[in-house]
Amino acid sequence: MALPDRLQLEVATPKELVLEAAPTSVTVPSVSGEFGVLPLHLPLLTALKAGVLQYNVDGKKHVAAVGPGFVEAGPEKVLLLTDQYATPDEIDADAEQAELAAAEAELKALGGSQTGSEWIEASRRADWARAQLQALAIARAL
Amino acid sequence: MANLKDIRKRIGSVKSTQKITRAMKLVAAARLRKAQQAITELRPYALKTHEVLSSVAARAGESEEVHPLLARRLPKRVLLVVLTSDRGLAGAFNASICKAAHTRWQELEAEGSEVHFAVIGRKGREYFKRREASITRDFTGIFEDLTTENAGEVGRYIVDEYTASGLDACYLVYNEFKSAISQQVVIEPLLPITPLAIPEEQAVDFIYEPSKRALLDRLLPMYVEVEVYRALLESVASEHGARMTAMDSATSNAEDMIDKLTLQYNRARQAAITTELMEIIGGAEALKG
Repeated sequence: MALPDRLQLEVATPKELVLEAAPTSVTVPSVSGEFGVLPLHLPLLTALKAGVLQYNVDGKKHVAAVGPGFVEAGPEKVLLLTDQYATPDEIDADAEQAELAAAEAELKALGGSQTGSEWIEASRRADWARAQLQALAIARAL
Repeated sequence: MANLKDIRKRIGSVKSTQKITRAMKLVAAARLRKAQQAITELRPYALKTHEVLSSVAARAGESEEVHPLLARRLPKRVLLVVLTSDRGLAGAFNASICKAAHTRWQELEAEGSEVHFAVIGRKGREYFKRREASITRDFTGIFEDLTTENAGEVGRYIVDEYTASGLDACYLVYNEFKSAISQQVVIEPLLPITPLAIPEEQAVDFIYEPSKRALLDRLLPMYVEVEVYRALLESVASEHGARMTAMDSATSNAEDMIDKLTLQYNRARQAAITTELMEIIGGAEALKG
């Protein structure tokens, strides 16, 4: 049996199946740190946090920002379930900077209580803005 | 015989009503297409979520204590989540959903369960308020701008209510979209969650990070939110389908009425002319002496 040299990558959001690609490697932001997936990876199921998804197709590197969700990685397939997804051309740096500043200001105003739904909502917004800015920075450096 | 002016007035008013029903039909058709598209786009995500959840849940049961959202208990306290619309003029859409929920309510009470309601949509709220049901929460106005966020709000409320106030089961009552002309009321068990049965040979033993329990804590509420969102979309599509059909028949009824009134109008006009002629002839005859 020939070893597979490609993975099947899928990203699904509630709005649509946003990405289908056949990369040779994938890097995913999980709650316990970033991890890379190559073909023949052991079956793994883990939670995603907002961050940067990177994958290589034919030697070319692609970047996208993803929100929190789940990732199922296997020997042939990587499946991301997330509620947010943005490619670098969709990201507006200025708008996200402003969003990040606003969310951080809100977090500061809420202070020490790190449990209320407002705090969770604001930190979610901050994380998502940060993830998008990060993705944009990486894409520009390529 | 009704007089000419009255009939003309009625024809005018039926015509303007027809204009409104026709416009409403077109609007409903456009919104229906949008809702249908949203359902199609959500499908892969909803299916995968259920698959992932099932694969974790199938294994979590063996080794760890069962998660509260998966545990099966005798249904003593039941929450019915009823999805209706904010607006009427949609044929039997709201009536059939309320009737189905009402019947289930009586069945459950006969079995000795305590039934509570979470109602989505103004129409359902009115119905159950009149019947003095115990409504724990109502959501109105979410159809104006249906997004994953406000579906998430409903989902989170259900999960909170389920865990905090000791509910034993939760059902979704909504109109499932079959086609533009047919909708079907379904009563779907939402909680406790039923994982899909996975055939043995397909069951891969995953590495779970951080742990199965931690994953379930995040996956289960997410699944509930997705299911609620899906049901909301189905309900919206059904609502517009029902309204489209209702407005279509209203438009053709108006057409029939206009035909009938026009006939009546012509007859009345003819009669008026005949009477006038008779009067003139009668007058002329009289003059001849």
